[in-house]
Amino acid sequence: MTDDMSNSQNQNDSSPDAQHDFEVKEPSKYSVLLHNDDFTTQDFVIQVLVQFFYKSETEAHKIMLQVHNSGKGLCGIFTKDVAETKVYMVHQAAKENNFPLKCSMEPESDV
Amino acid sequence: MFDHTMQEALHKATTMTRKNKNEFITLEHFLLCALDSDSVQSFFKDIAHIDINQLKIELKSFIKDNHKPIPRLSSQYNPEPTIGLHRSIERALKQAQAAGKNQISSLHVVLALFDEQESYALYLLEKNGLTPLVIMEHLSSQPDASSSASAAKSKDPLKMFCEDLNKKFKKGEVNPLIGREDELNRVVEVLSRKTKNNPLLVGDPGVGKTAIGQGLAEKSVEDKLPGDFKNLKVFELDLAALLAGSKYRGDFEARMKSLLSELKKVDNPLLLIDEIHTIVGAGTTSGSQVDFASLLKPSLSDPHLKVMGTTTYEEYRKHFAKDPALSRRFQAVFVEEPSSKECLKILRESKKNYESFHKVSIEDEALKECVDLSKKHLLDKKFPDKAFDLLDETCAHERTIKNNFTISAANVKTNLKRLYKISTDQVDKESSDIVLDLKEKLKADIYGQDKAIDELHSSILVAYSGLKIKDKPLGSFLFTGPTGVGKTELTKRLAENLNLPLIRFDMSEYMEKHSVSRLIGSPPGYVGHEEGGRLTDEVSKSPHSILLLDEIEKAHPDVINILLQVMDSGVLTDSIGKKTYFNNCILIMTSNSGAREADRGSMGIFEAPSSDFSDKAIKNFFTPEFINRLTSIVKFKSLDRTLLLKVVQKELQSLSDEVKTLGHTLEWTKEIEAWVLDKAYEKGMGARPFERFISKNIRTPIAEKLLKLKKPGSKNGSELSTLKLLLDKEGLKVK
Repeated sequence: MTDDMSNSQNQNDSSPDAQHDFEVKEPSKYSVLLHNDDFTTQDFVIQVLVQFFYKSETEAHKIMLQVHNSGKGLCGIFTKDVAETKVYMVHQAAKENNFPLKCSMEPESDV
Repeated sequence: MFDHTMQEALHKATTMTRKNKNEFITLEHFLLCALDSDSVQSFFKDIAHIDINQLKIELKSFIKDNHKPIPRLSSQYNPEPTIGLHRSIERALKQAQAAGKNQISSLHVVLALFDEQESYALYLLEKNGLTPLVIMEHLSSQPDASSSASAAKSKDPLKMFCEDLNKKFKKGEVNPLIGREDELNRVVEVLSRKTKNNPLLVGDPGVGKTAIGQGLAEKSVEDKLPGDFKNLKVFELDLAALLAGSKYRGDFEARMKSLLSELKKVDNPLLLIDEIHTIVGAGTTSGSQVDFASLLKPSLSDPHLKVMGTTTYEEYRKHFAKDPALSRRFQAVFVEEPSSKECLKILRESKKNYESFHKVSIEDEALKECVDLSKKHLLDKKFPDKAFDLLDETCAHERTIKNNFTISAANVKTNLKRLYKISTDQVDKESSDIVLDLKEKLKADIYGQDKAIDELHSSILVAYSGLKIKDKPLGSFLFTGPTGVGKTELTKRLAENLNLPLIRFDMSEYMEKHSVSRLIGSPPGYVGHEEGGRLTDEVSKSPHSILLLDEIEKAHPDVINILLQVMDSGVLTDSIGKKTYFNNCILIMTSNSGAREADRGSMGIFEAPSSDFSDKAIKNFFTPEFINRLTSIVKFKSLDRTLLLKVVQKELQSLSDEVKTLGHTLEWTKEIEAWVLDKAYEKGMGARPFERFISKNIRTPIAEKLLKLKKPGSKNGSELSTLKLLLDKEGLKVK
């Protein structure tokens, strides 16, 4: 018998049963976006795009300009799991380099 | 932390990711690999009723389509799990911790997957109808492998690593010790010493060393020990339990320490270590010098803890004696095998145990027979082990296979014959008939060697009557004479008639000095040392046999010298040190020396008897000590015409027998016989030319004829037809 009955068990009880009432739908993919800010350098953004998203130099430059000009740029579309991990990695790298670069993920809206 | 399924799944997932050159180890990778283990598969198939193959196919195709390989691999490529996988594993670990468990399996992580909303892995599982409740129910019904392991850690080391022999004896699970008073007294003496009171029982395997150790427990419980040894508590160490499961450096040492400190708390302890040579080197990791023996040394000097060990002479020499610091802390007590009388007493006392176990009743005569027969025939084992072996096997066989409920002496005898292929017939009624009739039978088969057969027969009579001299082989004979007169043939017939196996060595293979090593094994350090020798192996496999050494004059003199030992004391020691006993063998050597000289005849006017020449030649070739040890030298005569005629007749007869088995008969006339005799006779070549001749000139035409008869179209082959051998101008014909 587990001592801690409060936290995880309850969550498990509610969601799967609830999901079972209606049909299970295929999970959507997530887009990973980079956001503009006043402190992160352009070079760093390009570096992030190359290192974590495997973009070529030209592509990275293009996306960086997008971020710079329109406020956010699309880095790639991944499964939620992978997207989460990439966001985490970008934030870690930014923190290490003392940049407040923000990375976010949202479900692919254009299905 | 992780059980083996979990470790495997993680490992496989990492490998797969690496192979695919994927960025991360995702939930899908992990799920696919978790599905590979048998326990998970059986869960999905039997309990959740989900088609695993379908699941795997979908996962694989998803991974292929959505997790692309990295375009540019850096040298530091090292795929890591995704955040989602990390989270699931942590969730599973936390859950286990909260429940008081310390191990998770891959199924636990699969359960934790249900919290990863919007992951494809979860989608697949849910699509197939899996709910977390099913997993939880299954996991709850599993027996807890981890708890027993952890619980064991808190148990008493004495209970874990030792067996309390006193308790065992009280329960009645230990056989009582019978006799062995001297050895027990000596052991008690050693135990009463001020320092180094650690006896070491050394003896051959099967003499009762472990039994003496257990006997101490018995005596202690029954309060029969002298003086200060009341309440001696005997613990038998289980070394395997001590070593098993020691996972990390220092674990084994820690266990030892706990065991020794527990023993210190006991009042009057005795630690019995069976096969104590195993402690030398036990528990070391490579490079570490600290093994069980070294850890034990300081406690050995402590008079409070007494340690008793058992080992054999060889193991003592090989392992123990190499560590003088260890061996000096022990006092050797040599245990010899008990005498036949003592052994009989031991058997009598244990009779009840065997009777109740096998549910038979054993006569006293049977016990006596066990002791006597095993003493006579099982020479390489020791009392009381061999007597018990024989008794046990007899009971088992009679009870289970033959459903016999009383074990008599006759049963023991037949079982000895069956088990060890030893014929004890030497004084049996049936065999004495065989031996008495032997002469006639042999004379019917071998022509013209009556004198030789008589000599051979008289020696065998003596041997089989029981009057034989104890330590020598049953008989050592040297057959001399010209070639082809029946020396090897006689030996073969003898083996057939006496029902003994024939072990044949052709001495022309042993012409070189080093060939001795082939017979008795090579010395240590040389290739093949462990294999032993052919001669010793064969004879130890069948100790009752006829040993034939053909063409002994061709062997190297060193080889012949080995035989001196055999003929004198009947024992041969091979390179490993194993003794083979030849005193139930008949040793026959054949030689052609002297034949040429006998044929040549003498120079001068008066014909000296040809036998003198062969004698001289033999004396010249063989050393006097060899000739001295022979039971007799049996001279074979060359065959004259009448005898050769008989040989021809015998050959034709055997040919006709063969033809008869094919369904036809063969006829011939006396003319034919005479013709064969004339044509095939070669002086000095004995009976062999006739075989050759008949084979060439008679067998071949007959074979032709038989094949023609078999051909369809001509006469029907299955019809019984008579083949006649006819002589005409051109030669032999078959009709």
